[in-house]
Amino acid sequence: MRFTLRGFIRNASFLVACLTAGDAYPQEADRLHFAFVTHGGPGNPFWNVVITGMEDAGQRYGVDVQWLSSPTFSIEDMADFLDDAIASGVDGLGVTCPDPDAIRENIERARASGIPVIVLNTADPHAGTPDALPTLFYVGASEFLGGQANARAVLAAAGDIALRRAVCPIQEIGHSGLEARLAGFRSVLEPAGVIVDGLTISNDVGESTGLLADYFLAHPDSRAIATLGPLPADAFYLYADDMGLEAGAILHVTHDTSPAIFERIRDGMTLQAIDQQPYLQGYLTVVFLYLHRTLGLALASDALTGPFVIDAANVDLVAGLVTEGYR
Amino acid sequence: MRSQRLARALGRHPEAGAAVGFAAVFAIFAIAVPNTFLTANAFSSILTSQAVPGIAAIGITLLMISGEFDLSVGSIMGVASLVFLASAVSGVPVLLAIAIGLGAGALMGFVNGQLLIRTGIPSFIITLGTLLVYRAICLTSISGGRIVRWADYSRENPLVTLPVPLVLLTALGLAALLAWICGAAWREATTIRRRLLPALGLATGGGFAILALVTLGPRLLGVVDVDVFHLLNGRLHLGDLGGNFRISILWWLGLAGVFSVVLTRTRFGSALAATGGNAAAARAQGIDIDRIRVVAFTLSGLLAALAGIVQTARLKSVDPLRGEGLELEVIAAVVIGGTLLKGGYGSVIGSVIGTSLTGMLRTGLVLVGVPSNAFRGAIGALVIVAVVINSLVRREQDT
Amino acid sequence: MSPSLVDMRGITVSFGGSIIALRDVDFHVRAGEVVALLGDNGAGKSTLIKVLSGVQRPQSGSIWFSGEQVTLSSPQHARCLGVETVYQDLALIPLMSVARNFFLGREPLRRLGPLRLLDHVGMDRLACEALAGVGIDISDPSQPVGRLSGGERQSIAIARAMHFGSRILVLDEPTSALSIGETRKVLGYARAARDRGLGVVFITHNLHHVFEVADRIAVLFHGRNAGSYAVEDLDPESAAHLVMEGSLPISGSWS
Repeated sequence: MRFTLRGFIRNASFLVACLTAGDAYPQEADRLHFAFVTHGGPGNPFWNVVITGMEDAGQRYGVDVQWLSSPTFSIEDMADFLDDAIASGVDGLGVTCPDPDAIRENIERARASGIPVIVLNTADPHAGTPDALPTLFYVGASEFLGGQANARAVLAAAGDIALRRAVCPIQEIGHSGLEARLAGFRSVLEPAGVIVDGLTISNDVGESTGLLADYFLAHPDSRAIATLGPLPADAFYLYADDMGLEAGAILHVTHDTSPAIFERIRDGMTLQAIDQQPYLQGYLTVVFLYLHRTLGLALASDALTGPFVIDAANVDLVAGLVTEGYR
Repeated sequence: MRSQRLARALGRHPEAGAAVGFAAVFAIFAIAVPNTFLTANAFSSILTSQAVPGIAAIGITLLMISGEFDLSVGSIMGVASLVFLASAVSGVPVLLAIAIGLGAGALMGFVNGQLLIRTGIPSFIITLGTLLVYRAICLTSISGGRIVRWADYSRENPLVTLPVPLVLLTALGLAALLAWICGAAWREATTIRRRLLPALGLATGGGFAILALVTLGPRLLGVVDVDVFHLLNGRLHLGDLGGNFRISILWWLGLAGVFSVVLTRTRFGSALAATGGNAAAARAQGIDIDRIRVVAFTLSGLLAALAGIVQTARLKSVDPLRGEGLELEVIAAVVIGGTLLKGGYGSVIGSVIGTSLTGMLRTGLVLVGVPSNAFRGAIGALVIVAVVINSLVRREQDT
Repeated sequence: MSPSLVDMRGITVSFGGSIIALRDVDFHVRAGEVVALLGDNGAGKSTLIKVLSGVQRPQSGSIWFSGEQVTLSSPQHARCLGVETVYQDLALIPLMSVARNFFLGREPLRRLGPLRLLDHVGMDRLACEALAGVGIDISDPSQPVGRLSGGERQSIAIARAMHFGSRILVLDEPTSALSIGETRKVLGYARAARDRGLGVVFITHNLHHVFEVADRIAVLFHGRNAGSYAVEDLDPESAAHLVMEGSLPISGSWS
């Protein structure tokens, strides 16, 4: 029997020491400390740009920043991380609002403890109503306007061909930002007589590709697809390559960016991508929290970082910035 | 020799290893970040976030002791939450909606158990299948990528209006029951130390009865509006202490106490451990191991459903992915708590400690300033340490 | 001679119709005797025990308990009639305590207000007493069975059978994995059970143990009776011949 209590504690302390020594941000009493609690995070190319923006601003302004999210979409984890952040006594919070009622009490507690909250990336759907969460304002894109811009591009490209049906796959069910993109897309196409199918997929590209294949098999009359993020776009590209589709056989528009999306805009497979300039969302949230904390300043309206349309005309410029991590 | 004694002590008390680990991690954080860790905010964050998986972990503990697995527990939680909230928003009285949600959870657990005993396929495989099937129920019944939100139907929490005499009688009945049990324990106890717990119980029951009489007595002809969401998972206001303590913590600890007694002090508990420890021997002693397994699965489903309903009362919404990944979180906590993967041995109290330990690790790492990515890695390391301790214990037992 | 506790007559068991495990076998056990059941591998010993303990139903034949004909429907039914079978390795649960193993499925309960809870104190005490009754001293009945020796485990199972009023104790290869000292103890427990008036069926390969403990020897050969003898009437050589050949040696002497 080689087990000893001392050994156990030593191992446990070693584990925690590794984690704390390696990664921790120095927490000095006079430095501000902001936390971001979001429904997505590292591992997703989109969120990595937001994190870069957050970290750049943190460095520029001398602020400690901390990103808290679980690897999969989970409202319950968001609520728990908010409690943790409040417990750690942060000076400001950046929060996404995919489901405002689930985090309402946490936000109210933050407010009561004097922690300013800025909503980023995904707006509070109740904003401007009596049900709005007590937050400062929103830094992010207008998803609805982005969806509309994509729908108009699809209609323009369809030209004389009769477009009867389009599909919009949703990868994170229940996400109000994605719902707003879908709603914007519908709001233009449906009055024009186009059926818009919602299709539930996931962030698993392989699985989603199969679902898309099944969908197009069942609906050969569907001629346009609006993907709501880079991973679903990848799924569509995989499907298109499997089937040997030519550019324009199915009209594709997408939200967000990735190297694959740029390449496909160049070769004509994708009409356009709606960028929401995620770098700005991370960067500006820190800046506004900093200005609010130090000078009491606040914007009187939301700060819209999108829609910003990327098409064949400007794709090379944007792609250059992507390699540098700013897009 | 000393290490052998320790291993022997661990053998008697499955939760001992988890308790040691808990103390160690607690001490580390208390030293590293005393100003934020030793606060009501941090404690409440740990307990509140772990209450829901903690309730589900109780069921998984019983099931794992009986030698089985339930990977579908997160899906069961999702379906039960959905059934509960969908019933409530469609006008079903809220208490009935709770019963329907619990019933759905118990039914799904029962189906798992029946599949196990009828096919003889390992529960790991069966519940891997039902994990996907039950999840599909969620994904298909919430169409078009929506969330079911209570707020879309009503701005107020659901209220149940009860006549005061009924509430008063229930309260007094509960107090009397508690007093009856504690009184009996008091009479049996021979030492002062053993009388401590019964005395505490008697005091609690008495205080509860007096409180009920004082507040409800003068309004004997009136009615009481009970906010059901608050009763399930409302905020606990503990004076000046602050923090986000919630009623779910009381449900969790209360149920853990009840099921700990069930496990250690009833024939059913013995039968569970015997079924997991040596099914053939249990059968030879006349234990109906099939029935025990089905009951364990049903209980696990019921508790997962309760966890889901309690959580829904706080979040007030259900998305189709609710509970995804819960199974691994809960199994990790149960294993950390000292329950053997092979069954036959474990403790509900250990699972409470294990669940708290994972929560403490998460909150502590946030407080230290580590990004959330490291959290799962730390839990993983803890699971491995726990399994190593467990296997040492088992080797000691088997020789 | 006391009447039979159990009398099995004309038992025939076949598997799948073609393989006949037992053919017209008679077997009986009286109170206060140790019957050694002998036979080579495949002779039908374990099938006969399965019939006796209700696990296997015979195709034909009758079973009489204390003069009453019975159709055994399940292992539980056999237990109710007082048949307790102690298997070499299946009897106990290693991770559970001695006392909990002892009372498994039949735990004494105590009232605590409206509750009925296991009486741990009583279980520990009764288990200690019962074990002392067969001559084994377990210092700590709350220790897990897994820490006990093989012989001690057997003793717990035997003491359990005696404590719960079994009338027929079936010991299946109880000494096969034990040291000499342990074996001696287990044989002692079997004798203690006999002295308390139980009928003991003792299955073994070891003829020396048979002659130490048995009162009577029943032999099966290729699924048939090869005779039943008082132990004084046989010597180890003729017993071995019975097991191997199904008959007594020609030159052997018997009365």
